[in-house]
Amino acid sequence: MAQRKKSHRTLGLHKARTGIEAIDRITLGGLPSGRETMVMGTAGSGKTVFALQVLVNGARLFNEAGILIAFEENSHNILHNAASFDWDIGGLTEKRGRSASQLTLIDGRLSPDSVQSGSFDLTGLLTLIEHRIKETGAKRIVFDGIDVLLGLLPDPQSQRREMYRIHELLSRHSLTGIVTASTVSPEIALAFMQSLADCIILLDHQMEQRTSVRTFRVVKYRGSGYVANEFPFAISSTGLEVANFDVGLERIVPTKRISSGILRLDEMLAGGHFRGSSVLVTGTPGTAKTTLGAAFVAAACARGERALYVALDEHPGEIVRNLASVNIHLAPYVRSGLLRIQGDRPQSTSSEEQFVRVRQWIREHQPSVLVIDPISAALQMGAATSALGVAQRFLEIVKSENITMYWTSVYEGGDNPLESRSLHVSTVADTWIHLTYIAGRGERNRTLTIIKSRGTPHSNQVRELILSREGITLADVSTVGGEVLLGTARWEQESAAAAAEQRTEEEQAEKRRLLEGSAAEAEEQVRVFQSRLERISADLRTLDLGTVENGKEKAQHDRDLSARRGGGQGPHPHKKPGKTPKRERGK
Amino acid sequence: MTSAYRRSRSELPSFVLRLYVTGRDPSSVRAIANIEEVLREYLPNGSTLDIVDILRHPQRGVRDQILVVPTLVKLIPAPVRRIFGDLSDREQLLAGLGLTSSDRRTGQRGEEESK
Repeated sequence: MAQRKKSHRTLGLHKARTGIEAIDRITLGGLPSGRETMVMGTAGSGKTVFALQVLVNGARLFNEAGILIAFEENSHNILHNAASFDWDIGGLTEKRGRSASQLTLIDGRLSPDSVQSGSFDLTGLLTLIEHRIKETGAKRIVFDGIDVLLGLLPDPQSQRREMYRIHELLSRHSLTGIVTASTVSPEIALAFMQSLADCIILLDHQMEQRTSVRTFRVVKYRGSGYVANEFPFAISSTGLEVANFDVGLERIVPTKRISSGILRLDEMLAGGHFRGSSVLVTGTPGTAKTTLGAAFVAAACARGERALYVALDEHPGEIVRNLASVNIHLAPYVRSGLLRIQGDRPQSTSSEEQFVRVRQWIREHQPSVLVIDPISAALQMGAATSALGVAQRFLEIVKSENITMYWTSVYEGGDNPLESRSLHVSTVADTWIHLTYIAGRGERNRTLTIIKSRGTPHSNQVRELILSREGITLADVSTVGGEVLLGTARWEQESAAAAAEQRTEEEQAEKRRLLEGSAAEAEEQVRVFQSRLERISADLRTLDLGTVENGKEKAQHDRDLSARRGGGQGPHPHKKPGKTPKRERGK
Repeated sequence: MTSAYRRSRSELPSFVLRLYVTGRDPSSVRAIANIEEVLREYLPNGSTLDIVDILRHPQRGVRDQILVVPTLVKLIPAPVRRIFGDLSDREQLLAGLGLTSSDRRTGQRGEEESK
């Protein structure tokens, strides 16, 4: 359906899908078919992986045979590297009976001990390629490391000439071509190649805060729209993974509820969480965030649903052991395969890679509930911007697959940048549960507050969270500590809910102050206007009095004047000379 | 000089060369002329030169992985070596073939090395 929309949008331009979902979306349907796409990037930025993946996908998904000509490495090395991906590249390069192989690799390197003597051209290569194209019926072709090839040619003229011949070859056979080149390469003809290419993609690989950040960007796409943003990507076992981004959100909004695993919490939420919603659990260390997540997972498994628990700061075995002490027994579910607890070390990777790995596990395990414990660990690596993007994409993927997700995060209040990242997460989460400790009377008690829950009526009361051998329960705070607890100033400061409340109070106070200010100002203005009005009406009154006097005086004056002129004719003697010439003319 | 030439001459195994060209295009024509001249000069009675036109026999170019044209392949004596270009750089050509100036029959054409 999306397909139709695209072909309509791009009119005559045909596109070859890369099979990499996000990239097909960014390019609004794929690479230009029958033309060249130039993929530029530094060494190790993933050019070859991308190009190869387009060929593999072409063969696997769209039944288009492909050819790769390797100028930089020998084809054996490329095959060897490609074997580390889940592509079964060996199966593609094998000949199947009488039909040609789906993927052909051509070694485009001159043997290292060859000697150059005088000028030459690439006719041999082009003849060879053309022959292979006819033989395999290839529709996609990759020139990997074209800059190396150009380096062999003696002068810019011949470089341009050969580039043009390659271009001609591609259009003659209407092949979708990918030409990769290193950006640091000094070959002048690359600029010429760029002008020949209809689409230019830039791959980048940089270290940001000691983690690797890879980005993908479409620089130009002749005759087609594209999303011009820079997209982070990672290289996983399936190849290039540009993290999902959704253009149109066409998803079913679920209305079914599922249990949180804690009866009283379900009651507080008026029936549990919505399926496909995301629940953020924040709290200081030791406030039973993990326990809450585990209770959720255990409830899902008890219903016979598949669950994935991503443990980022504890060993899976420890989690199982520790939770048994609060009567949450995960071990049987792990054994039966319903539950997968996946440990990982986020310290060594960027959040982008983390995301891709979790996504991989989701694909493998197909869970209906997911716990990421803690998300703050996943977000702490790399740049803040990419971490936030990752958090949002986490949400996208779980929502699109209707997975209900718990994510936990350390939150102690304050302006810790790491925590503010988690707080940003809270804006995208559907439900936010905050856990704290309340110290008093010689004990520390855990409390639970639902700060927000979209679409469900929820209790705004603070409950005490009780962990025991029997399991987790929530008790009403009022019956435990009552007013003393609620009235404590310390609690006010410790509770994020209170902090939020305080914030709104402060905001209101600020608003009030401003409003009061303007009210006072207005009142002042009213006062000023009032006095002005009074002054004016006073003036008016004196004016009225004066007018009466003046009127009398004026009447007297007029009478005096006409009496002096001695005429009863009226007060306009000057009109007479004007009339005389008219009369004369009339004669 | 002469004795040195004889000694090395007698030890030289026969040369088998193959030159890949594309029709009669200028660099191919130059390459043929250049290699024939060298063969005449250095190996007057012991060489085989096989000229392959890959426009007429594309399969041979494909099979032998010929990327650039012209390419001269020295098949015998070992090691197999490829020399590409129109063979106008005499010094590189001789080095590629494993011939040195002591193998030369007449010793007076040194100034033509870089034609």
